Amino acid sequence: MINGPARGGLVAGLDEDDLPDETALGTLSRSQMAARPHVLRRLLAPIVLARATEDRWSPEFRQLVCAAFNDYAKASRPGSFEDSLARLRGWARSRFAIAHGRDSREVRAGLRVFDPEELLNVEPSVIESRSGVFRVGRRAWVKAPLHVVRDTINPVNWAKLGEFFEYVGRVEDSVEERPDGWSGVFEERYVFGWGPLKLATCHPFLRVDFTFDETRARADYSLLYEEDGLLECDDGYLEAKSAPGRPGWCEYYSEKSTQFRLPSVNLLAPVILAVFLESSLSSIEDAAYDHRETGRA
Amino acid sequence: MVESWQPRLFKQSPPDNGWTHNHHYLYSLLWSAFLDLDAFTASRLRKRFFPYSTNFVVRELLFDEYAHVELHVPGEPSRLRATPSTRLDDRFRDVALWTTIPKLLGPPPYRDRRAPVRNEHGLDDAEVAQALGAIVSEHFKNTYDLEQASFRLDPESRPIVPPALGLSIADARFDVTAGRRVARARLSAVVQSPFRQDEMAQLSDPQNWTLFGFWDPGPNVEARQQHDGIPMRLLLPGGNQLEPSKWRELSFSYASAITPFESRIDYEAVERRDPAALVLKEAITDAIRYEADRASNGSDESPDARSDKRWQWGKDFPHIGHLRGYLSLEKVQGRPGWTRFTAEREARFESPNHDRFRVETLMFWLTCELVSFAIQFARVGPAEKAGIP
Repeated sequence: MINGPARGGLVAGLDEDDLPDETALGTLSRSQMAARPHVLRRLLAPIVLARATEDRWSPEFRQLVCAAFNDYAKASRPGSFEDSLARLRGWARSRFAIAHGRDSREVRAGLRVFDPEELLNVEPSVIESRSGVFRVGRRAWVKAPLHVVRDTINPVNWAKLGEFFEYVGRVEDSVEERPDGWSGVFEERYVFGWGPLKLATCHPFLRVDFTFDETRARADYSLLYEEDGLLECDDGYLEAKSAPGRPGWCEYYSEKSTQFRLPSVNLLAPVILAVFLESSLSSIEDAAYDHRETGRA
Repeated sequence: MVESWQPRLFKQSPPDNGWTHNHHYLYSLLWSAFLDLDAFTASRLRKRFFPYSTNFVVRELLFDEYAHVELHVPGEPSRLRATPSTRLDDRFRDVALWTTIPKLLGPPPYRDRRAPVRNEHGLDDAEVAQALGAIVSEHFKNTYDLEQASFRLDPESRPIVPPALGLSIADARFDVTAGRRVARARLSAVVQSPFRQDEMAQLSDPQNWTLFGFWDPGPNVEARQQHDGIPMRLLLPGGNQLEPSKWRELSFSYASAITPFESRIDYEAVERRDPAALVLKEAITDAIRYEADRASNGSDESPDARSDKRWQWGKDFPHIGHLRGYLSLEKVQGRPGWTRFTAEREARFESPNHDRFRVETLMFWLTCELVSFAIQFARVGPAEKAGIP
């Protein structure tokens, strides 16, 4: 989900369009096109890699590609679409179009030195399916102290992980506080949707455990029950660890397994999971950015 | 030391002055359940630390509920009649019975030609096993509503601990490596109990291994802080008499760590007393003579041969060559309220019976430790506390 204005920037001329309903369903609203360049580059990378020889693109996609390199353009005039697309293809190839294996780690390590990501270094998601349960995992390195990431993955702050959370909160009489964290029952209400289209609303109760020490923090959760019986499975964890040999960086890993009771909705589970992880990763990046800006102020 | 951690093996903890003969007898029965022995094979093993046949084990474990079991399995009268207060905890009893089911209900093994076809009651060993298997199946059906037909007989495919025992143990799995003299076993399982640094994690201190019953950590002394060569005793199973020498004195070295996510202890132990060279030479000579007699004398040995001290492994002889391993308890990722129990142990035994059944002995110990852990730490979760269904 990409929402909100570019960080630190002034967005103009992007008020919501009064588009007819049938047009709105099939297009992105302009408010969704103004987004963070880092996020846009990651989201668009698989598309340009998959369509390496494509030369016909929609106007909306052209705008997204240009927006993905706003930060590169800085004070100068924004580059043309062709120039931005060429940059995006090169960026995507260097980060994702590498066969997974031992060599790819060394390549990425080299990239961190010569072409470092600003605050986030992300590995591709891993999606698995077994007996109708979809599991997605994603790893990233975050340039932020552990306590910054720890506060973000604490379930009490999960509302910041994405705008699809209508409500999150602890069931207070179930909570056991500890010096190294807490555990208890956690209530969520979240909405699956795309623009004006709302696909489903879920109201699960989770069993949650949040634990931390000086080098690691982890939030584990598993499904207790869902109010309307929509979910068969909803468990996973978010973990942040100090990255050995990389002072100032954390290793962040998030994994989520989900199965919806309705087969038609369960078909969308991989998409929902991938978007959830991407959104939570963006929130981690936001927290890292805010910490850096606070330090500079 | 956590004062409340009494041994979980028995319905009533042993008296303050230690185990009695009957406690050791039940311990030996529990061990024998893992050995899958027929009566003839069991009779041919060494007297010291002798194991019991599977049929005999079942007879004794079901003695209280199924008196007619004794009719199927002749032999020595039950020792349990004289001591009604000394009994295994029901969960340990049922774990042992569960372990014997593949032997009872499975196809009869190759029969040793030297074994008598029928016992003095006219019963064939295999027929007795089948009859006992029916009684054990009836026991699990009546007590836990478990149908044996729902489970495979292949031991590698069966749950290590019977489900519905109320122990909240899941995903239990053994990995075993056996060599010529050394065996290593690793047991991994998840137990529904929240990981607690201030309580459960104290198992990384061997002084709290009183929970497991057959470990005796000795007095609490400052030397423990050195983590090097502390005195520790381990009780070897086998036989029906508890002699002091069955508690083996070990020099126990360990290192432990506790974090909010995991507690772990790594250890290594050897016997404290090094036997005199003369004693060792005598033991070897005795063993050679024993094997030569067996090879030249092809007929059955009479039960009276057990009284011959020539067959004994001497009390001063080394029994445990070395022990090493680790015990790890960690919070399970993505499953709040569950703890992963991982125990690995490698052993080399000098005691002949334990050396012959080194894999089974390790599996027996690790299973008992897992069950003790589950009995001690089963908890009500936060949802149940909050009254949420």
